[in-house]
Amino acid sequence: MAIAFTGLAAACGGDDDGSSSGRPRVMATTAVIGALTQEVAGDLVAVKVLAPAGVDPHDYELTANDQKEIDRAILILRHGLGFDEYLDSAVSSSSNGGKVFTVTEGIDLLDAGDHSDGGDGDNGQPDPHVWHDPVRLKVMVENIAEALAASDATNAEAYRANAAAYSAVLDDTDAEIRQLIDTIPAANRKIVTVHDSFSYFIDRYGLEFIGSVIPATTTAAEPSARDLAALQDTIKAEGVKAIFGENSADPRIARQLAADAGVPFVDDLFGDSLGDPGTAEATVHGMLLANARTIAEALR
Amino acid sequence: MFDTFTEPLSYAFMQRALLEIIIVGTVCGLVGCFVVLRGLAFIGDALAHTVFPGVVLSYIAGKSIIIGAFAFGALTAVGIGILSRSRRVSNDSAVGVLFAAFFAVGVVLISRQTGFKRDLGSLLFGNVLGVTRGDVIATLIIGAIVVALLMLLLKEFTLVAFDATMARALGYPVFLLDLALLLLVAATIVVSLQTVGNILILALIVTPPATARLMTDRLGRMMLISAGIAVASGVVGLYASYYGDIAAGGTIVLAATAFFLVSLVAAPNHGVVAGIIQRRRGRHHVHHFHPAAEEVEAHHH
Amino acid sequence: MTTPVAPLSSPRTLALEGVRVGYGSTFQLSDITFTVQPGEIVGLIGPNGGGKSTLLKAIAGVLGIRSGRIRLGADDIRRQAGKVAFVPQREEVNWDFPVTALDVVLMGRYRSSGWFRRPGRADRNRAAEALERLGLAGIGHRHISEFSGGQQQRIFLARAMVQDPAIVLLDEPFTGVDAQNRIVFHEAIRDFARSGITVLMATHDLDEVTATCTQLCCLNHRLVAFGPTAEVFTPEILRATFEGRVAVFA
Repeated sequence: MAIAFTGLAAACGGDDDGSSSGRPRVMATTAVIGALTQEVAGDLVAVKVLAPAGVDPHDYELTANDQKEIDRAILILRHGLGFDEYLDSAVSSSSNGGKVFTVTEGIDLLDAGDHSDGGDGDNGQPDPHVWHDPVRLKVMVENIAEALAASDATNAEAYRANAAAYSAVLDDTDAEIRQLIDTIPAANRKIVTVHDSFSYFIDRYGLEFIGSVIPATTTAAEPSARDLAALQDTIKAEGVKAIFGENSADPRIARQLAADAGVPFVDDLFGDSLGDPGTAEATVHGMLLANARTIAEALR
Repeated sequence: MFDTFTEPLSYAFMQRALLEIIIVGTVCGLVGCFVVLRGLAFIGDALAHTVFPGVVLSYIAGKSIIIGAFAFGALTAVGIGILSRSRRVSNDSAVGVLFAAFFAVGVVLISRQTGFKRDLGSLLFGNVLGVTRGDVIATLIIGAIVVALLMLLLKEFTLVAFDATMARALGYPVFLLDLALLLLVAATIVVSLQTVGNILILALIVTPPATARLMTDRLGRMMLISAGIAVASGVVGLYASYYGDIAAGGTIVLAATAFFLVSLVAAPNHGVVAGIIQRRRGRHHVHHFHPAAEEVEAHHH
Repeated sequence: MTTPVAPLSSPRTLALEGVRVGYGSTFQLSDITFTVQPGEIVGLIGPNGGGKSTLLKAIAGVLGIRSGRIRLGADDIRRQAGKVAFVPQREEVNWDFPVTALDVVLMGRYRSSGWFRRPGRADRNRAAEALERLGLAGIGHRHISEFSGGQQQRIFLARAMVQDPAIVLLDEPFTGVDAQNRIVFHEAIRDFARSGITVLMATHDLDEVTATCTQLCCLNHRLVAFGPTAEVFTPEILRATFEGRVAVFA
């Protein structure tokens, strides 16, 4: 395998990146997948994330450099579910017929917007934000391990072992989050966000989704005056304790809405991204815990 | 029936949005008259695009977009003023190059950002439902200054627009007056960006005055009608967003366009229907007061 | 007809010294020097493209001069811009602009109103009066494009009148104007002269020139001749001015 890879590298005109020297290159289309791959593969592969942390994957535009990386990768782990459609043309034009694997395969999906009242949702389209549920994450971890094992059989054992270890971490995380949520009085477990991107978290922990400022699960839509008026009324009627914002959403409308409704605007959730490298939130489980703490503190 | 008007106003965000659009509509309607009468629509569009990197920079720095936008707007206004003096540079291509370049700078700047700062949506399409009280106050102050300056210099702007030669002959500083007008247009754009965004702002500056021009031949009335229509479009757009569940920014522009189309067809002297009627009756615009051999000058429309 | 006799350098004496106008290496006008006493009616004649319009625009301050001086009285004419009224050739105005005849005439009062102020009632009255004097009573509220060419010229003349100028510059005022309007213009020009206002009129209508002008200025990129009409309007001078391209019937 190593000989075949070096041969490939030589054919590509040499390896510019000294740090990965010989390690198989794996691409992940989101920061979350990247972090999970890191947990499963450790130093065995060089992971490159296409859409860096903090950037909305819906808006991402491939650079020429990205195309080069795609050509070099032995495995491309994609999220699918409409999150990385830019990949389709890139992979077909890639010189590497590299393996592409959709890590969300087999996950039990929810429909987008199927719990919002008054909103339209995406009419039967699946909600892609599956990583907010530690239990579903375990499926992703398993998928990543199997995909890596298939591409790099030498290390298959290591991958599977790491995956199992991380699954245990996710179980612990699940338990911890459940404890945090339990500290919230039942009447307060009502969630209003800027985008409707937390349905899996809400579903797993029995919270109630009241509404989102931007009506659909995509980032492009603009709320109408009626949407906002209805949401404000509902917030007051239901006694919602806070409105939550996230890093990749424009907070301005939400902030005003919160001020008008007399509730705090809590802008600390991680929606589509992870924390800065080196922080606890840079890992997926760390991020989920941080979100859970933020929510618990605000709603208590 | 009365409830239909008052119900949306029970929401604070609707009150703010309404105030904002009333002020913005007034300023755009008044200043827009000179944009239309002097054929500055293209330059106005260029200004709207060139303020974009200023907006992006302010957004990134977390400061009010007014500062960055006005800095770039002023820069462009001066640049355009200087360019138009040069006989060697073709005016509209130079302006075109400028505005595409500035806009691209803005796009590149934004692509380097992370998080919601990459959200071009509210910059490009406006965010009138999210204006804060501070925004409305800033709009009021700046809007008032712009309108005051416009009215103070009204006769000078009128003279330069109608007969620049005479303006020069009378010793008026024509270049500075043109520059002042461009700066007022830039300020108008900056103050109005939040309501309909970068792309559509020109529509609010050009469509109401164009509509008003169809309805009257007097400048004073044109300015009043233009401001009225701009404000009406804003109000209609907001109410439509409330009752019709559609985006506010685009609807405001559609309302302004609807007014224009109605005026185009129905206006008493310049409308399509009036034109047909006049031709049927064999009337022309030129009135002859002396029956004897008066030459008919080709100045009727 | 008697014109008021003024001392050589009254505040309304127009003096040109060595005036040069042009771009690059060619000059439209070179070495133009003459003096005009107040109340004179000066005809500017010469071949097309010979610099008549250019001279008027230079005096009006619409074109810059490369060298030389133009003085009104003791001071540079540009410092007294309000005292010079310029009636342009028609094409240079924005006819679609929403102004009425009265609005246009009122523009002649702008300078005296000063910056930041509107013309007042007295100004409006003067404007209406001027329109009346030029035979356009009662229709000042119509849009400028609704008038015939001759009437439009009268409106511009009215505008010059209300400026209370020291000098009135007319660029081809009789072009394409019918007999009726001609009479009105003549009266207006004579009225100017009677009140001590100097008139400079560029024209290619040599009959007009002999009928109306007291002084003649023959221009062909340089000053061919300047002086009282009777002295200057001779076949030799005319030939020199037009370089042989004029037929003179004595």
